[in-house]
Amino acid sequence: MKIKNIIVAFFLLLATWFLLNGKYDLTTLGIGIMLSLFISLVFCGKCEIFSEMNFSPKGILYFFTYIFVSLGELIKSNFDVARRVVSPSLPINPGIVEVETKLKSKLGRMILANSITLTPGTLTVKVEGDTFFIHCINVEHTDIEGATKDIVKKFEKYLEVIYG
Amino acid sequence: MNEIIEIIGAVITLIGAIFLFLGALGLVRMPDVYNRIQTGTKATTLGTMLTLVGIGIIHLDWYGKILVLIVFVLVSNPISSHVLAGAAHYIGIPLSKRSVVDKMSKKPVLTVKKQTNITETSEKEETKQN
Amino acid sequence: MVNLILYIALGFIGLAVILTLYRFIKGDTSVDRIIALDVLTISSIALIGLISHFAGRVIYIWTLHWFTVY
Repeated sequence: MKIKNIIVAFFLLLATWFLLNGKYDLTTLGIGIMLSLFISLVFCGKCEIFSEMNFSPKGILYFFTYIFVSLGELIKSNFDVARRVVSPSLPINPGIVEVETKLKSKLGRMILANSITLTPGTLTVKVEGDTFFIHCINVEHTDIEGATKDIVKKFEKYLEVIYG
Repeated sequence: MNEIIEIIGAVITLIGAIFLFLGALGLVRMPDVYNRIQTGTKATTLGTMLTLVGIGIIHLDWYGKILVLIVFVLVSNPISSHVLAGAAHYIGIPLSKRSVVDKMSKKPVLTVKKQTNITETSEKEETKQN
Repeated sequence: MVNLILYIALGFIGLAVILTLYRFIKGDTSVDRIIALDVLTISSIALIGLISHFAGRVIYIWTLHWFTVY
């Protein structure tokens, strides 16, 4: 598991290095490989972030689908919030609701909470075990089941496969 | 052809700037802290993303740096707003009068002795609303 | 044409900065001021991107080139 962690961190650092440099020759490649190998060996030996991820083809497919789904949600709900801000009567209906998640891995929960925060209209205020407290700009269901179905389910079905 | 691509990039930049403006407008108009966080830090995330993407379409050779910037903004921005909202609830800033439900004030955020005072005040607020 | 649209975008971002400064100065509580500062930093990233277009060089979003040049 430690080896997998180091390898994933190495390729991530190398990709960031190439994107930052913007040119692809042998000198850049050599310096990049040296630097990312050094950083991943020194700093990523003990942390266990990537060891929970599922790198089968299905997991990778769901990962890219998840990126597009969350970007679509981001744009859709941004237009919704913009409509609420512009309209003169300010049609908001705020409140804090409670939802539950089934995810077990730590990184999966972090990405779920970040995605909920990134879609405008919902904001994770507090994470407590399986329970998320979420501030909604427009509350539709106040009970746990309805709120979970509204907010969490659309992200959770992808994250369950990726961090299975 | 080149001209058309540049105009598409400029229009995307303009849409991003309009989203930034709407986020700032929401920051002024909203009634309480939590709604200000909602409109303030997230409409501006999409605005900054679209602005940078438009600049990246106009100058196609800058795309690497633009991509890294977008990823950093996307990762760091929700964490800051999450921590700000948690801190605001912890020091006891009440929700606005128009709020429907507050499931969180029943359970204290952290188990500290001073916390009892804050929960009492928020419960008073709730009874006043009812 | 491109520059005209980008000048309009610059005007919108300037308006956003002015509105944010209003909330920063008036702010009812301290958390409001912190949020205004946060929004100010985010919109300044977009502003720096636009300025680097008008300056015509990538120096404002330019990182780590010195390492491979020298």
